[in-house]
Amino acid sequence: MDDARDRELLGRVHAGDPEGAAFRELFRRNAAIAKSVALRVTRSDQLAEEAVQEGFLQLWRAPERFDEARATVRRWLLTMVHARAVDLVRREQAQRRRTDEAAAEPMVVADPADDVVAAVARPGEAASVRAALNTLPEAQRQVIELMYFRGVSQTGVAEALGVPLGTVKSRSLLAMRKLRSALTETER
Amino acid sequence: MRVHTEIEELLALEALGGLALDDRVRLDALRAEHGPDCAECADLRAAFADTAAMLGTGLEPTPVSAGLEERTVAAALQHRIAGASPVPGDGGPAAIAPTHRRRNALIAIAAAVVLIAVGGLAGYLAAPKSPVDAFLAQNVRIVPFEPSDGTGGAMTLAVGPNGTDGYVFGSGLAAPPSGKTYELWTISGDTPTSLGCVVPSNGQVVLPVAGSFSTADVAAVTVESNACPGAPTASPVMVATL
Repeated sequence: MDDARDRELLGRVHAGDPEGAAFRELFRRNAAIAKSVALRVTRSDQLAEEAVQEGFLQLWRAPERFDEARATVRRWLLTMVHARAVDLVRREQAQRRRTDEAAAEPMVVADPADDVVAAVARPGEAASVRAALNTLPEAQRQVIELMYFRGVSQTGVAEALGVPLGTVKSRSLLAMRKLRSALTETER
Repeated sequence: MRVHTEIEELLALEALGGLALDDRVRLDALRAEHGPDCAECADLRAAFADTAAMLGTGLEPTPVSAGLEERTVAAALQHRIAGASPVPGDGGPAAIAPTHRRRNALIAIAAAVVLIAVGGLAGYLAAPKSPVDAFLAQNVRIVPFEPSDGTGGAMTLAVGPNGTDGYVFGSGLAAPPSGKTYELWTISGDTPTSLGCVVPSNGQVVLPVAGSFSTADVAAVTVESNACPGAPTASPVMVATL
Protein backbone atom coordinates (compact mmCIF):
# COMPACT_ATOMS: atom_id res chain seq x y z
CA MET A 1 0.00 0.00 0.00
CA ASP A 2 1.36 3.41 -1.00
CA ASP A 3 0.00 5.16 2.04
CA ALA A 4 1.23 2.55 4.47
CA ARG A 5 4.78 3.10 3.23
CA ASP A 6 4.35 6.89 3.31
CA ARG A 7 3.08 6.67 6.88
CA GLU A 8 6.01 4.56 7.89
CA LEU A 9 8.40 7.08 6.36
CA LEU A 10 6.60 9.99 7.99
CA GLY A 11 6.87 8.19 11.30
CA ARG A 12 10.62 7.99 10.82
CA VAL A 13 10.74 11.70 10.04
CA HIS A 14 8.77 12.35 13.22
CA ALA A 15 11.22 10.19 15.16
CA GLY A 16 14.17 12.28 14.01
CA ASP A 17 15.41 10.89 10.69
CA PRO A 18 18.99 12.06 11.36
CA GLU A 19 20.28 11.68 7.80
CA GLY A 20 17.04 12.66 6.13
CA ALA A 21 16.79 9.25 4.45
CA ALA A 22 13.09 8.76 5.14
CA PHE A 23 12.40 12.34 4.13
CA ARG A 24 14.28 11.77 0.89
CA GLU A 25 12.24 8.68 0.10
CA LEU A 26 9.03 10.56 0.83
CA PHE A 27 10.23 13.21 -1.58
CA ARG A 28 10.98 10.66 -4.29
CA ARG A 29 7.60 9.03 -3.88
CA ASN A 30 5.52 12.19 -3.90
CA ALA A 31 7.39 15.14 -5.40
CA ALA A 32 6.29 14.52 -8.99
CA ILE A 33 2.58 14.51 -8.22
CA ALA A 34 3.04 17.48 -5.92
CA LYS A 35 4.74 19.34 -8.75
CA SER A 36 1.83 18.59 -11.06
CA VAL A 37 -0.57 20.19 -8.63
CA ALA A 38 1.67 23.22 -8.13
CA LEU A 39 2.31 23.54 -11.85
CA ARG A 40 -1.38 23.61 -12.63
CA VAL A 41 -1.79 26.52 -10.24
CA THR A 42 1.34 28.53 -10.94
CA ARG A 43 1.92 27.72 -14.64
CA SER A 44 5.58 28.25 -13.82
CA ASP A 45 8.15 25.52 -13.39
CA GLN A 46 10.19 27.64 -11.01
CA LEU A 47 7.27 28.62 -8.80
CA ALA A 48 5.93 25.08 -8.85
CA GLU A 49 9.22 23.70 -7.58
CA GLU A 50 9.36 26.42 -4.93
CA ALA A 51 5.92 25.36 -3.74
CA VAL A 52 6.95 21.70 -3.73
CA GLN A 53 10.06 22.44 -1.71
CA GLU A 54 8.19 24.53 0.82
CA GLY A 55 5.44 21.93 1.15
CA PHE A 56 8.01 19.26 1.93
CA LEU A 57 9.75 21.54 4.40
CA GLN A 58 6.45 22.07 6.19
CA LEU A 59 6.12 18.32 6.45
CA TRP A 60 9.65 18.06 7.79
CA ARG A 61 9.15 20.76 10.39
CA ALA A 62 5.83 19.58 11.73
CA PRO A 63 5.23 15.90 10.95
CA GLU A 64 3.11 15.69 14.09
CA ARG A 65 0.45 17.76 12.36
CA PHE A 66 -0.49 14.84 10.15
CA ASP A 67 -3.79 13.42 11.30
CA GLU A 68 -3.87 9.83 10.13
CA ALA A 69 -7.59 9.56 10.74
CA ARG A 70 -8.36 12.34 8.29
CA ALA A 71 -6.09 11.96 5.26
CA THR A 72 -3.38 10.05 3.50
CA VAL A 73 0.16 11.39 3.74
CA ARG A 74 0.12 12.25 0.04
CA ARG A 75 -3.11 14.20 0.27
CA TRP A 76 -1.87 16.04 3.36
CA LEU A 77 1.28 16.97 1.49
CA LEU A 78 -0.70 18.06 -1.57
CA THR A 79 -2.81 20.31 0.63
CA MET A 80 0.31 22.12 1.83
CA VAL A 81 1.88 22.33 -1.63
CA HIS A 82 -1.34 23.60 -3.17
CA ALA A 83 -1.75 26.27 -0.49
CA ARG A 84 1.80 27.45 -1.04
CA ALA A 85 1.34 27.44 -4.82
CA VAL A 86 -1.74 29.63 -4.41
CA ASP A 87 0.23 32.01 -2.18
CA LEU A 88 3.02 32.22 -4.72
CA VAL A 89 0.78 32.82 -7.71
CA ARG A 90 -1.14 35.54 -5.85
CA ARG A 91 2.14 37.18 -4.93
CA GLU A 92 3.25 37.12 -8.54
CA GLN A 93 -0.06 38.58 -9.65
CA ALA A 94 0.25 41.35 -7.08
CA GLN A 95 3.76 42.16 -8.26
CA ARG A 96 2.60 42.31 -11.85
CA ARG A 97 -0.28 44.56 -10.87
CA ARG A 98 2.19 46.89 -9.22
CA THR A 99 4.29 47.07 -12.36
CA ASP A 100 1.27 47.52 -14.60
CA GLU A 101 1.96 44.34 -16.49
CA ALA A 102 -1.04 42.71 -15.04
CA ALA A 103 -4.14 43.00 -17.05
CA ALA A 104 -2.38 41.53 -20.03
CA GLU A 105 -3.77 38.13 -19.11
CA PRO A 106 -7.49 38.03 -19.69
CA MET A 107 -9.13 35.09 -17.99
CA VAL A 108 -10.42 32.67 -20.57
CA VAL A 109 -12.59 29.84 -19.44
CA ALA A 110 -12.82 28.00 -22.72
CA ASP A 111 -14.20 24.69 -21.62
CA PRO A 112 -13.24 24.27 -18.00
CA ALA A 113 -15.11 21.07 -17.48
CA ASP A 114 -13.19 19.34 -20.24
CA ASP A 115 -10.00 20.94 -19.03
CA VAL A 116 -10.34 19.48 -15.59
CA VAL A 117 -11.35 16.08 -16.81
CA ALA A 118 -8.55 16.00 -19.37
CA ALA A 119 -6.02 17.05 -16.77
CA VAL A 120 -6.97 14.20 -14.54
CA ALA A 121 -5.42 11.67 -16.79
CA ARG A 122 -3.99 8.99 -14.53
CA PRO A 123 -5.64 5.64 -14.42
CA GLY A 124 -6.80 4.33 -11.07
CA GLU A 125 -7.18 7.39 -8.91
CA ALA A 126 -8.01 9.38 -12.01
CA ALA A 127 -11.07 7.31 -12.74
CA SER A 128 -12.70 8.08 -9.45
CA VAL A 129 -11.77 11.76 -9.60
CA ARG A 130 -13.09 12.01 -13.14
CA ALA A 131 -16.29 10.25 -12.17
CA ALA A 132 -16.71 12.57 -9.22
CA LEU A 133 -16.12 15.64 -11.37
CA ASN A 134 -18.65 14.36 -13.84
CA THR A 135 -21.32 14.37 -11.15
CA LEU A 136 -21.02 18.16 -10.96
CA PRO A 137 -23.01 20.57 -13.10
CA GLU A 138 -20.78 22.51 -15.48
CA ALA A 139 -21.20 25.71 -13.49
CA GLN A 140 -19.73 24.04 -10.43
CA ARG A 141 -16.91 22.41 -12.39
CA GLN A 142 -15.93 25.85 -13.66
CA VAL A 143 -15.49 27.05 -10.12
CA ILE A 144 -13.37 24.02 -9.23
CA GLU A 145 -11.22 24.49 -12.31
CA LEU A 146 -10.57 28.16 -11.68
CA MET A 147 -10.05 27.95 -7.95
CA TYR A 148 -8.27 24.68 -7.32
CA PHE A 149 -6.45 24.16 -10.60
CA ARG A 150 -5.67 27.78 -11.43
CA GLY A 151 -5.41 29.42 -8.03
CA VAL A 152 -7.99 32.12 -8.83
CA SER A 153 -9.58 33.80 -5.81
CA GLN A 154 -13.31 33.88 -5.25
CA THR A 155 -13.37 37.48 -6.47
CA GLY A 156 -11.48 36.57 -9.61
CA VAL A 157 -13.81 33.67 -10.29
CA ALA A 158 -16.82 35.94 -9.93
CA GLU A 159 -15.28 38.36 -12.41
CA ALA A 160 -14.25 35.63 -14.83
CA LEU A 161 -17.65 34.01 -14.85
CA GLY A 162 -19.66 37.21 -14.57
CA VAL A 163 -21.62 36.03 -11.57
CA PRO A 164 -22.10 37.53 -8.10
CA LEU A 165 -19.66 36.59 -5.36
CA GLY A 166 -22.43 34.90 -3.42
CA THR A 167 -23.05 32.60 -6.38
CA VAL A 168 -19.38 31.62 -6.45
CA LYS A 169 -19.50 30.81 -2.75
CA SER A 170 -22.61 28.68 -3.01
CA ARG A 171 -21.31 26.87 -6.09
CA SER A 172 -18.04 26.13 -4.29
CA LEU A 173 -19.82 24.69 -1.31
CA LEU A 174 -22.21 22.59 -3.36
CA ALA A 175 -19.37 21.30 -5.52
CA MET A 176 -17.27 20.36 -2.52
CA ARG A 177 -20.13 18.58 -0.82
CA LYS A 178 -20.84 16.55 -3.94
CA LEU A 179 -17.20 15.77 -4.56
CA ARG A 180 -16.75 14.68 -0.99
CA SER A 181 -19.71 12.40 -1.18
CA ALA A 182 -18.70 10.91 -4.54
CA LEU A 183 -15.02 10.43 -3.67
CA THR A 184 -15.58 8.93 -0.27
CA GLU A 185 -18.14 6.59 -1.78
CA THR A 186 -15.61 5.27 -4.27
CA GLU A 187 -12.98 4.87 -1.55
CA ARG A 188 -15.15 2.46 0.41
CA MET B 1 -26.38 24.17 18.95
CA ARG B 2 -24.12 26.25 16.75
CA VAL B 3 -24.91 26.94 13.13
CA HIS B 4 -22.08 26.03 10.76
CA THR B 5 -23.53 27.28 7.50
CA GLU B 6 -21.22 30.22 6.97
CA ILE B 7 -18.13 28.51 8.32
CA GLU B 8 -18.77 25.53 6.05
CA GLU B 9 -18.99 27.81 3.03
CA LEU B 10 -15.76 29.57 3.92
CA LEU B 11 -13.97 26.29 4.66
CA ALA B 12 -14.92 25.02 1.21
CA LEU B 13 -13.39 28.14 -0.32
CA GLU B 14 -10.30 27.78 1.85
CA ALA B 15 -9.76 24.19 0.74
CA LEU B 16 -10.03 25.18 -2.91
CA GLY B 17 -7.57 28.05 -2.41
CA GLY B 18 -10.15 30.67 -3.32
CA LEU B 19 -10.52 32.48 -0.03
CA ALA B 20 -10.10 36.25 -0.33
CA LEU B 21 -8.38 38.15 2.46
CA ASP B 22 -11.49 39.63 4.01
CA ASP B 23 -13.11 36.21 4.11
CA ARG B 24 -9.90 34.74 5.55
CA VAL B 25 -10.27 37.12 8.46
CA ARG B 26 -13.97 36.35 8.72
CA LEU B 27 -13.22 32.62 8.78
CA ASP B 28 -10.57 33.01 11.47
CA ALA B 29 -12.95 35.11 13.53
CA LEU B 30 -15.71 32.54 13.17
CA ARG B 31 -13.38 29.71 14.11
CA ALA B 32 -12.29 31.65 17.16
CA GLU B 33 -15.91 32.20 18.07
CA HIS B 34 -16.60 28.47 17.75
CA GLY B 35 -13.49 27.74 19.78
CA PRO B 36 -10.49 25.51 19.17
CA ASP B 37 -12.43 22.46 20.33
CA CYS B 38 -15.23 22.80 17.78
CA ALA B 39 -15.29 19.24 16.49
CA GLU B 40 -17.61 19.99 13.61
CA CYS B 41 -15.37 22.83 12.45
CA ALA B 42 -12.36 20.52 12.53
CA ASP B 43 -14.23 17.76 10.71
CA LEU B 44 -15.45 20.10 7.99
CA ARG B 45 -12.01 21.63 7.51
CA ALA B 46 -10.27 18.28 7.28
CA ALA B 47 -12.92 16.81 5.00
CA PHE B 48 -12.79 19.68 2.54
CA ALA B 49 -9.00 19.81 2.56
CA ASP B 50 -8.86 16.10 1.88
CA THR B 51 -11.45 16.36 -0.88
CA ALA B 52 -9.55 19.14 -2.61
CA ALA B 53 -6.31 17.18 -2.34
CA MET B 54 -7.99 14.17 -3.94
CA LEU B 55 -8.45 16.29 -7.07
CA GLY B 56 -4.71 16.58 -7.32
CA THR B 57 -3.95 12.92 -6.84
CA GLY B 58 -5.29 12.06 -10.26
CA LEU B 59 -2.98 14.36 -12.20
CA GLU B 60 -0.19 13.01 -14.37
CA PRO B 61 3.07 13.29 -12.36
CA THR B 62 5.60 15.88 -13.55
CA PRO B 63 9.26 15.04 -12.99
CA VAL B 64 11.06 17.53 -10.79
CA SER B 65 14.28 19.11 -11.98
CA ALA B 66 17.63 17.59 -11.17
CA GLY B 67 18.83 19.02 -7.92
CA LEU B 68 15.49 19.81 -6.30
CA GLU B 69 15.66 16.67 -4.19
CA GLU B 70 19.15 17.52 -2.94
CA ARG B 71 18.25 21.14 -2.26
CA THR B 72 15.13 20.17 -0.35
CA VAL B 73 16.85 17.55 1.78
CA ALA B 74 19.76 19.92 2.42
CA ALA B 75 17.36 22.71 3.43
CA ALA B 76 15.58 20.35 5.80
CA LEU B 77 18.79 19.22 7.47
CA GLN B 78 20.07 22.79 7.61
CA HIS B 79 16.87 23.85 9.33
CA ARG B 80 17.47 21.24 11.98
CA ILE B 81 21.03 22.40 12.53
CA ALA B 82 20.05 26.06 12.62
CA GLY B 83 16.92 25.51 14.68
CA ALA B 84 14.66 28.52 14.65
CA SER B 85 17.55 30.88 14.09
CA PRO B 86 19.19 30.53 10.70
CA VAL B 87 22.50 32.31 10.52
CA PRO B 88 22.13 35.59 8.65
CA GLY B 89 23.94 35.47 5.36
CA ASP B 90 23.62 31.73 4.99
CA GLY B 91 20.89 32.08 2.43
CA GLY B 92 18.15 32.02 5.03
CA PRO B 93 15.87 34.97 5.66
CA ALA B 94 17.43 37.99 7.27
CA ALA B 95 17.16 38.40 11.02
CA ILE B 96 15.48 41.42 12.50
CA ALA B 97 18.35 43.56 13.67
CA PRO B 98 19.11 47.24 13.60
CA THR B 99 20.98 47.32 10.34
CA HIS B 100 19.77 48.72 7.07
CA ARG B 101 20.92 45.67 5.17
CA ARG B 102 18.77 43.38 7.22
CA ARG B 103 15.87 45.75 7.31
CA ASN B 104 16.02 46.10 3.55
CA ALA B 105 16.06 42.34 3.23
CA LEU B 106 12.98 42.16 5.40
CA ILE B 107 11.23 44.75 3.34
CA ALA B 108 12.24 42.98 0.15
CA ILE B 109 10.56 39.85 1.42
CA ALA B 110 7.51 41.80 2.39
CA ALA B 111 7.37 43.76 -0.84
CA ALA B 112 5.79 40.75 -2.42
CA VAL B 113 2.88 40.92 -0.09
CA VAL B 114 -0.49 41.96 -1.32
CA LEU B 115 -1.81 44.93 0.61
CA ILE B 116 -5.48 45.31 0.41
CA ALA B 117 -7.63 47.95 1.95
CA VAL B 118 -10.95 46.44 2.71
CA GLY B 119 -13.80 48.85 2.86
CA GLY B 120 -15.27 47.42 5.99
CA LEU B 121 -16.80 44.11 6.77
CA ALA B 122 -20.02 45.59 7.95
CA GLY B 123 -21.94 43.70 5.32
CA TYR B 124 -21.11 40.49 7.10
CA LEU B 125 -21.66 41.76 10.50
CA ALA B 126 -24.96 43.53 10.67
CA ALA B 127 -25.35 42.54 14.28
CA PRO B 128 -21.93 42.35 15.96
CA LYS B 129 -21.94 40.00 18.91
CA SER B 130 -18.37 39.59 20.06
CA PRO B 131 -15.48 42.04 20.50
CA VAL B 132 -13.91 40.57 17.37
CA ASP B 133 -17.10 41.02 15.37
CA ALA B 134 -17.47 44.55 16.66
CA PHE B 135 -13.90 45.31 15.69
CA LEU B 136 -14.29 43.86 12.21
CA ALA B 137 -17.52 45.76 11.66
CA GLN B 138 -15.42 48.92 11.47
CA ASN B 139 -13.58 50.11 8.39
CA VAL B 140 -10.60 47.83 8.98
CA ARG B 141 -7.54 47.36 6.81
CA ILE B 142 -6.50 43.76 6.20
CA VAL B 143 -2.80 43.00 5.80
CA PRO B 144 -1.64 39.45 5.08
CA PHE B 145 1.58 38.03 6.49
CA GLU B 146 3.81 36.32 3.97
CA PRO B 147 5.65 33.22 5.19
CA SER B 148 9.34 33.89 4.74
CA ASP B 149 10.78 30.48 5.46
CA GLY B 150 8.21 27.96 4.39
CA THR B 151 6.29 28.16 7.63
CA GLY B 152 2.84 26.74 7.16
CA GLY B 153 -0.44 28.34 8.03
CA ALA B 154 -1.80 31.79 7.40
CA MET B 155 -1.74 34.97 9.44
CA THR B 156 -3.43 38.27 8.82
CA LEU B 157 -3.42 41.58 10.64
CA ALA B 158 -6.60 43.63 10.78
CA VAL B 159 -5.92 47.28 11.61
CA GLY B 160 -8.69 49.48 12.92
CA PRO B 161 -9.45 52.94 11.54
CA ASN B 162 -7.42 54.66 14.28
CA GLY B 163 -4.26 52.91 13.03
CA THR B 164 -3.32 51.67 16.47
CA ASP B 165 -5.79 48.95 17.39
CA GLY B 166 -5.70 45.65 15.64
CA TYR B 167 -6.25 41.92 15.70
CA VAL B 168 -3.90 39.23 14.50
CA PHE B 169 -5.63 36.16 13.12
CA GLY B 170 -3.89 32.91 12.36
CA SER B 171 -4.94 29.46 11.27
CA GLY B 172 -3.18 26.25 10.37
CA LEU B 173 -0.12 27.33 12.32
CA ALA B 174 2.42 24.85 13.58
CA ALA B 175 3.00 24.83 17.31
CA PRO B 176 6.33 26.48 18.15
CA PRO B 177 9.01 24.14 19.53
CA SER B 178 8.89 23.32 23.21
CA GLY B 179 9.81 26.33 25.33
CA LYS B 180 9.19 28.70 22.43
CA THR B 181 6.46 31.11 21.44
CA TYR B 182 5.52 33.25 18.48
CA GLU B 183 6.29 36.92 19.06
CA LEU B 184 4.79 39.68 16.96
CA TRP B 185 6.58 42.89 16.08
CA THR B 186 6.21 46.14 14.25
CA ILE B 187 9.36 47.62 12.80
CA SER B 188 9.66 51.36 12.23
CA GLY B 189 12.91 52.29 10.58
CA ASP B 190 15.41 50.17 12.45
CA THR B 191 13.39 49.87 15.62
CA PRO B 192 11.42 46.74 16.45
CA THR B 193 8.57 46.98 18.95
CA SER B 194 7.03 43.89 20.48
CA LEU B 195 3.28 43.45 20.15
CA GLY B 196 3.25 40.44 22.42
CA CYS B 197 3.64 36.70 22.34
CA VAL B 198 1.19 33.97 21.50
CA VAL B 199 1.06 30.20 21.19
CA PRO B 200 -1.57 28.87 18.75
CA SER B 201 -4.38 26.77 20.08
CA ASN B 202 -5.11 23.98 17.60
CA GLY B 203 -3.22 26.04 15.05
CA GLN B 204 -5.39 29.09 15.62
CA VAL B 205 -4.58 32.56 16.88
CA VAL B 206 -6.86 35.49 17.56
CA LEU B 207 -4.88 38.15 19.37
CA PRO B 208 -5.83 41.77 20.04
CA VAL B 209 -2.78 43.97 19.48
CA ALA B 210 -1.95 47.64 19.80
CA GLY B 211 0.82 49.36 17.85
CA SER B 212 1.75 52.18 15.55
CA PHE B 213 0.49 50.45 12.44
CA SER B 214 0.08 53.61 10.43
CA THR B 215 3.75 54.59 10.82
CA ALA B 216 5.54 51.22 11.06
CA ASP B 217 7.18 49.79 7.94
CA VAL B 218 6.52 46.13 8.49
CA ALA B 219 5.02 43.69 10.96
CA ALA B 220 6.83 40.45 11.58
CA VAL B 221 6.56 37.22 13.51
CA THR B 222 9.53 35.46 15.07
CA VAL B 223 9.89 32.34 17.18
CA GLU B 224 11.27 33.31 20.57
CA SER B 225 11.78 31.83 24.00
CA ASN B 226 8.81 31.77 26.36
CA ALA B 227 10.39 34.73 28.13
CA CYS B 228 9.03 36.84 25.25
CA PRO B 229 12.16 39.02 24.87
CA GLY B 230 12.01 42.74 24.27
CA ALA B 231 14.12 42.51 21.12
CA PRO B 232 13.98 39.84 18.41
CA THR B 233 16.63 37.14 18.52
CA ALA B 234 15.58 35.13 15.47
CA SER B 235 14.76 35.51 11.82
CA PRO B 236 11.15 36.29 10.98
CA VAL B 237 8.97 33.41 9.93
CA MET B 238 6.30 35.75 8.60
CA VAL B 239 6.41 39.34 7.40
CA ALA B 240 3.71 41.83 6.42
CA THR B 241 4.22 45.17 4.72
CA LEU B 242 2.35 47.92 6.48
